[in-house]
Amino acid sequence: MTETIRPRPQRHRPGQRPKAPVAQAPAAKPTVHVRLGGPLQSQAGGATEFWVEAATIQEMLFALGAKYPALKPMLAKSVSVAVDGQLYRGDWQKPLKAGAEIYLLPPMQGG
Amino acid sequence: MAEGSKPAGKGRKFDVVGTRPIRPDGIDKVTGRARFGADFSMPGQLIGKILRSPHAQAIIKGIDTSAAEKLPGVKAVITSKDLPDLSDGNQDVHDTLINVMARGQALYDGHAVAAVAATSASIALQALKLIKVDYEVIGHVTDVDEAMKPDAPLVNGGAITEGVTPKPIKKSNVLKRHQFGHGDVDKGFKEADIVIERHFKTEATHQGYIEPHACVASVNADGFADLWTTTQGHFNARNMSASILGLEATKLRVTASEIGGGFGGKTVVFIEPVALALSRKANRPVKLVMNRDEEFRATGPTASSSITLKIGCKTDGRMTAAEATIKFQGGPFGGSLVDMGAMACFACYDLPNVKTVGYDVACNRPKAAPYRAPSAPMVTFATESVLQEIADKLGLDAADIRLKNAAKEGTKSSYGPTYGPIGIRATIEAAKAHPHYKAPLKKNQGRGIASGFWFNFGGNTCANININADGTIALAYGNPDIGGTRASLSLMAAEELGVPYEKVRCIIADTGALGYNDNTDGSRVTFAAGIATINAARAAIKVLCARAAKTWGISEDAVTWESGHAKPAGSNAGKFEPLSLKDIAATAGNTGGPIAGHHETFADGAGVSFGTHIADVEVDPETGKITVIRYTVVQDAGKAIHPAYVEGQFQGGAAQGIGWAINEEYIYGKDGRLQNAGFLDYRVPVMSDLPMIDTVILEIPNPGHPYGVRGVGETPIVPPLGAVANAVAAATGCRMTSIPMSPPKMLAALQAKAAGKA
Repeated sequence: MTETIRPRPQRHRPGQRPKAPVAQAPAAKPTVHVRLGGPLQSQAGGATEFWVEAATIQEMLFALGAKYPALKPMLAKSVSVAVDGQLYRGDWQKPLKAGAEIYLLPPMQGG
Repeated sequence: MAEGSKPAGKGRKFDVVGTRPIRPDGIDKVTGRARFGADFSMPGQLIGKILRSPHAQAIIKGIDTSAAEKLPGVKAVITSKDLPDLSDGNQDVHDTLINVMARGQALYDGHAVAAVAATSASIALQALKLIKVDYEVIGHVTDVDEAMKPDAPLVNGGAITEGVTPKPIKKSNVLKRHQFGHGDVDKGFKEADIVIERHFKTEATHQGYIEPHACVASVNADGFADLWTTTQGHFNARNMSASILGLEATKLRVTASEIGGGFGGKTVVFIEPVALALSRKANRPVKLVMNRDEEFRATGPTASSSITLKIGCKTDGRMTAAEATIKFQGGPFGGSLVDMGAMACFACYDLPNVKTVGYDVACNRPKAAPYRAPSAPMVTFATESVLQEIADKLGLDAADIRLKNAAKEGTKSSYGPTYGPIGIRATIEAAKAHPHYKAPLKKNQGRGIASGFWFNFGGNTCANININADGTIALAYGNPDIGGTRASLSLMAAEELGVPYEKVRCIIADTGALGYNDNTDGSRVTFAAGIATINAARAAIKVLCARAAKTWGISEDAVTWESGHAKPAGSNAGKFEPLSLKDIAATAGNTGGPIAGHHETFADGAGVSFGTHIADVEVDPETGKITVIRYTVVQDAGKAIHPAYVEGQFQGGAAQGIGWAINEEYIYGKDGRLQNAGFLDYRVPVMSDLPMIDTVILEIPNPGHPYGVRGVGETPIVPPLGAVANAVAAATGCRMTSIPMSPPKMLAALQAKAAGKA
């Protein structure tokens, strides 16, 4: 059996306006410092580093692609991302902390 | 912290991990029953053969296959027309498509131009002779420095160099430029008391696996296909072949055979799409096996290189700056992996000012494939040679100068990221403390050391564990077993489940049985498949505990797993006799059905790897022959799951590196044709060429793995070129800058030295 979970309807007296839901302010995203290695630099118009607000590696890559569209094919194909010295090749949901050291590097291959 | 509940660490006690049981595939391999790629056959199969270009570069003006098609017994002939370009902008698929079958232009000696499937090998070979190819031979280039000259013949039409600002307007053979580094190298060299710059060349080497590429393809009339192949990655073989053939992935099921070595050379496809295309056309299974000549001429060797490298030091040996210009050729499509060389070049050392520039250059040679720590051995040869020359000039101990400069936690690596905890210092200290380091030497003998680095990585990985009714364990994973991973994964499953190693049967599942698994490469399988196996076992344990809880009528939370038994978690959970895995498995049908666990992951957190090697050589002054007389490998394994196979990786990597250092090379004639396409003329070391290679396993746990595992397969090939060159310099006073240091080159250097020219 499939169960569908729906939000419980708010109860209020007839004639009384329901309370407006309190909007939760989105958590501020950390600002991270990203450096580009190898041929990524030329695709970014010669830029070697930039700052971006991003909570995850994926958000950082999206932001980078939006800023430098010429980089999108390389970002889509494959890059390696070093976060605080640790290399990530696929865990794009990795949370980023403010001030994290991030390097975008070419894709890795092994033998 | 990796997935899983128990931390890695030195204090962790293991029951079966760290022991040395016999590998599950061992008996089949020593009795000849193991089925490698060429051992598989199907009823009614045809034999495929490939026609290859005899020219380094030629326009294909036409191919006439009519006579071959008429030959009795020939069932299919294909050319590039039978493999339409479906790459849809995917450069990897496009390059592979052109590499497996030339389209309009032959790009190297050995490039496939047509293929035949016939009822026998002799008929297929006869048919190849009947195919008429109209070639227009054009200029070629096989040397990386020649290919970079402005007037060099363009390979595959040339390209606009990527990675250069502003963008060049003229095409060349330089496909990409990569730059890494930090600080100000000019300032650093000014601060140095001694600066040495040298130019190095290394020749291309083949991975040298004994088993040739081989496959059997069977495409059915309903469009479904099966492929049996020797490969380092059957999921990658499926995806690449399916893309080229225009098949949906699910319609192509690939089964990996046993593999007789790969070392990177079987991470790419060469014959599989051809066999599939022949089978599709002939409507019969097709078997295709490469011979050794084809292996050398048409499968991926490593890149050849030209490197200019400079290091500056203070008189105390502290490096102030380092710079390298690295040129790699990797065949007609690029992909030499020079970027990894530019990153690995100075990765062992803590450098305030460093710069590496890499050029990926096209040549009329076979498309390069990765070879064990691709690119690192060549650049490390250059780095370790210059560093040793500086140490000799300053009168410093070889280990001490490396310790003085060794990277450590907090060092900004030469390729950018700041290192976490790393083990290079430990490997140098262990090498220095080893009896080998101070053992006496005789006349014409010398000792050298070198350190090396490799990145390591994880990637897409799956594992399934099924608990059989008799309490045995079926473990399935998706990576061809090259270095004993079935044994290592069985050990990890046994450790986690608390059963004897012998109760686990580990198999390599086909592409229809598991999710996508990356290749067996990058020193990744024991690390990544280990994580998947441990977590699959933990998932199965959760089910086992739930079944015990059901049997006892208590909450699942009140059950714990210890030493292969479900037990009440505490006295308030009730008093029950522990249930063994076998007890629970026997009643599984009455407690909810079969018991299993699975895990799928993209494993990250592999952690970088370092090693330090000591080489002793003896150089024959009359012939120039170099003999390695003693060799020791020191490397960090994180945690050695099966120490014998870790030692085997250390020894194998060192043996291949020694062969590269002193003998192995691709030799091209002026006509651009390979002159030594066979093991008689391409000399790999055999047992009698090598001493027993001693090993020291350091265990500095990798926090990215539940047991602390660090990949070990690639790093051991990185230091040997430099270690042997340094030993040769110590023995003879000749600093060799060209690899291999073959007897003719060595003799010429000795004679030049005697004549006072060097």
